[in-house]
Amino acid sequence: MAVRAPRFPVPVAAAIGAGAWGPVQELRACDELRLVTTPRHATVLLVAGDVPAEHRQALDRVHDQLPHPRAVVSWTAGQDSSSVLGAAVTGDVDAVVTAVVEAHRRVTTDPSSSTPDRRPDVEPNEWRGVGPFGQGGEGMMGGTPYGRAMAMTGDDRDGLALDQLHLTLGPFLDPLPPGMVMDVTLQGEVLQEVDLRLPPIGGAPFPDDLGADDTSAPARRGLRWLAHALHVQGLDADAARAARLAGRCRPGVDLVPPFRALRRRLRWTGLRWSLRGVGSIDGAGDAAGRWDARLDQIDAGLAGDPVGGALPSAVSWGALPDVLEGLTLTDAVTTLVSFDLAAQPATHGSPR
Amino acid sequence: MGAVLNAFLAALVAALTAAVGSVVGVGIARRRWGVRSTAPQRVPVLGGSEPETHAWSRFHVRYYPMSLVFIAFEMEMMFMYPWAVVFVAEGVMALAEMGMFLAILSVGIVYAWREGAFRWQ
Repeated sequence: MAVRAPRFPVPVAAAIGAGAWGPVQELRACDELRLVTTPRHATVLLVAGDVPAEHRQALDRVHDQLPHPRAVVSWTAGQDSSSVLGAAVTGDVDAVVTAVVEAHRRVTTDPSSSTPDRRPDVEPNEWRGVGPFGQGGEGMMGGTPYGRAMAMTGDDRDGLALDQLHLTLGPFLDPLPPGMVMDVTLQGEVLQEVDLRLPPIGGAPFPDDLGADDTSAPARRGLRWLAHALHVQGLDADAARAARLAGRCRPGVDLVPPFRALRRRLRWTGLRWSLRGVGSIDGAGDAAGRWDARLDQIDAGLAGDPVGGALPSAVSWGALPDVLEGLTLTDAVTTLVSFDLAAQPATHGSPR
Repeated sequence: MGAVLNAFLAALVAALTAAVGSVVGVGIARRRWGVRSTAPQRVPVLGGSEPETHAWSRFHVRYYPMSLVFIAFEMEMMFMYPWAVVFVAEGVMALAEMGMFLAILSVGIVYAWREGAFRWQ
């Protein structure tokens, strides 16, 4: 490493564009940085890959949510640098780690170099102080403080009348595939309504990423999925192990013993038990079944038999809301992750 | 009398000094080092989207019935402490009485079970 690393991992928030989801997952193996789940916890925003025009505004919002001092590193494919935000870097994982650590060092030693807000400093609507709590309505109901309506009640699945919270999740939310935007109506933590607005970003893969003729590609892709999925399940140490395996995954490298060791380790975490019965759909089993199928497929890929161990059948994009509605937010995320939408953009069958 | 008044005066002066000092100190600190959050920073993290409803909403605590059942049976445990103290002195009589008490409560458990109070929703 050319630069002096800080004594703690640099907290990095990743905003992932076209084709960069897989390479970013391999960053989980690095001791020098830590991919955090929210921009509020990060000092460096890593913009990986080309971000389509429709997501630029969202990217600006994510950027502004990093607290000062903050820095931006753009991991680009090389040829197109028009959309670059902050210092651009091309190359492999090591080059990105060096750039991130350097950006962190620069901005912490000189906080005045922190990047300014990209969105204007104005509320979407002005405050109108009406009502007993200044919320603009009667009691705790109604009104539109700052232009955002108060939650109103609606019937829920258990026969109660609960407040409905309307949220738009994505496109740069850590557990969701990058680019995926969905409108959800929450009552408590239960998803009452799901409306898919934008599918995950497709697009060309990163250069020097997995080639079509690379025999180790399916296993490596699977290990990247495993790294992300374990992170979402809260097992970050195991996610780092999976990412380390993904980084070492080359033709001719025997990773079967360490992968099986990781699998044995996962058995002790009780993860499979918590996945049982989550996100069941007809003909595609539950999340635990899909995890098993993926782990078997990685095992087969590492053993040199990439076609062995069939992948679980993918869910169609149109059927996804029906699968998610009625689940708790946690179970919905677990279900989405078990489908691996980020690595299989071709299976969506989306018109966009 | 004068001494008491002087003591009150001294306390008053000390309180005023502390109040003014802390307000001025906090004010200077905010001016000098305070970080004012901007409008885009105050938006909740949704991955780049903006919320459509205000964050002030009532949330259904789904463990509510379970916690009520827990408190009810914890109270039962509390009745057992004084019973345990006199158990040796009272003998079989106390055992029979506690047996009746627990039998009545276990009917409640069976009822709550049948109603699905122990099922996580």
